[in-house]
Amino acid sequence: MTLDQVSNSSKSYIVRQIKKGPLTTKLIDMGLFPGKEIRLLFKAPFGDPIAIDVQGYTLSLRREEAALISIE
Amino acid sequence: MKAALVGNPNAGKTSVFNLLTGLNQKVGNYPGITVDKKWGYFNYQGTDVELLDLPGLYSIYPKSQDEEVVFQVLRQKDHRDHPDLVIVVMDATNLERNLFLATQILDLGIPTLLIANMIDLMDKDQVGVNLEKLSELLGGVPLVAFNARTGQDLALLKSALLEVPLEVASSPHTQEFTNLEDWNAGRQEEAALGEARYKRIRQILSLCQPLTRKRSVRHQKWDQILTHPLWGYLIFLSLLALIFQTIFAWSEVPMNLIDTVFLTLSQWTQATLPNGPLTDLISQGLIPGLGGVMIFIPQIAFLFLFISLLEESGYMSRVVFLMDRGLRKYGLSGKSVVPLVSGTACAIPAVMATRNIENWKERLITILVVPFTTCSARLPVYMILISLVIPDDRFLGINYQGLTLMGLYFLGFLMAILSASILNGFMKTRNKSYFVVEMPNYKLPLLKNVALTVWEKTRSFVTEAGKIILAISVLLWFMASFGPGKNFANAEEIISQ
Ligand SMILES: Nc1nc2c(ncn2[C@@H]2O[C@H](COP(=O)(O)OP(=O)(O)OP(=O)(O)O)[C@@H](O)[C@H]2O)c(=O)[nH]1
Ligand SMILES: [Mg+2]
Repeated sequence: MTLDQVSNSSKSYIVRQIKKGPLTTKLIDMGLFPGKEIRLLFKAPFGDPIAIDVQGYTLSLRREEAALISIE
Repeated sequence: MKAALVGNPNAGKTSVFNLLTGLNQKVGNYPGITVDKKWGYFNYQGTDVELLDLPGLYSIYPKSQDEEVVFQVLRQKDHRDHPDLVIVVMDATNLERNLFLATQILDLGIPTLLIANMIDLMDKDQVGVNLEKLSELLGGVPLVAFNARTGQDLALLKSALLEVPLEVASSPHTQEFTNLEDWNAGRQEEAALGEARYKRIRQILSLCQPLTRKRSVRHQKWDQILTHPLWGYLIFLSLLALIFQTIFAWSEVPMNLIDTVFLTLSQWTQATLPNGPLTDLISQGLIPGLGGVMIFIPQIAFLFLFISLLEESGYMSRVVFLMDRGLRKYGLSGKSVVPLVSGTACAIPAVMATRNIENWKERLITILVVPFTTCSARLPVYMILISLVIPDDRFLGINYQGLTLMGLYFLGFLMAILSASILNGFMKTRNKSYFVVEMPNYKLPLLKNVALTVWEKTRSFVTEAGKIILAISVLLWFMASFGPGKNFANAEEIISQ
């Protein structure tokens, strides 16, 4: 499952993998490395962008970018 | 000695810089306020320190133009601004991510002082990191706790700074960069190195963080309302309406006062000085011209009071979040909101502020459309036209003049969007744009920071736009007095007939 499919904000997920591509390093820099616990906070209208809790701070990203992050 | 402030965006670097140097650089609760380097100086116990404030960055490998600035300074040992010592400012409430950059800097082998800033918030969150232990685990790097909002223990920070040994043995970490070529090697396997670095940071933190974290996200309730699909936009619109209403309502009294003062002064000079063209120049050209600049101070000050409150509270980041999807269609990004709003002061700093937009196409389009927003020098022109044409009436408590002003600002934004969508059709790019942005916690605006922004913007209006307004009003006086017809001098009466 990828992060863009999440709609439940009461459940935490673990980052499993970041899809290889030009954004991999940016997402890792921001603290989204495999093993990190994350949680959906809220979504903008039409579900894009979304805001997530990266344990320590709030990160916002577009759905497109959320789709690069597989979680479990 | 040369020292440079490095750290994640919004960690408090500029706050530390202002405290140490006594300067007044712009501070705000939004990641990416500082986009260029800035030197300052201070002397502590006989040592001269040149201090460099830098834009924030998340990793030593740059991803945007403002980050590139820092990369250049740190990477080249012979760079004009290369520091003898780096001060890494960390947000103590989020050490894991802040240590990512901090340990990269340690690996560079430049003498380093770590600051665990926002210690007040860390204590509130009861994150409870043992900082002495952390410093020890990082190989004995000096680490001080600090609160850049209050500036408490500033002397301690200064002496810690001077005690940092300027010779560094090799870093105890992954040894990612031992020489310049390593940078390029590092880029090749940046992702893998990044993951390994975070694993190591986790290990270190687990050894000095006995308590489990109680809370990581503050004010969630607020976000539920302020970013709500319906209420979010309504609140934003009402806020704007309120701002333009109050700009008109609150400025009336001080504006009338300024008007009276300059009128009296003009009459007094006319009566006191001997008759002649020089007296006329002073009483009818110079003094009304000066008055014509000063009279707009209340409105401009109020406009920036509101804008800076939006920035300092953290609300601006929510606007960026809400606007991203709408703006994306026109080749802009949510991040374009900040330059577009700061364009209400002046287009030049607004163009600078685009540096933090990563995608070049979005950045270029933003730069090109920023001049459409109504800058403060245009505000007086609007004001004069509005008070000439629009009646000073109210409907259901809404002032027509305020409404018209808001409409004019909207028209500016609308033109910006329109031009953006045209440009978007022309420009092609292979680089995909992205939006991965930290959203800072809400903070109570610091009075000092708000006051400084208002002062700075108003001052630059008076000196920059004021010069021109004054020159033109003298020129107009000249033309009205010595020009061909009387029509011009009576322009106001003719219009109001
Ligand atoms: N509570 C608290 N707030 C702080 C502290 N230090 C800074 N702030 C606030 O944090 C926000 C960011 O501060 P800045 O000094 O602009 O941060 P910066 O690192 O220069 O940010 P960029 O230039 O955007 O990279 C401001 O709203 C400050 O008032 C602190 O020790 N405690
Ligand atoms: Mg700054």
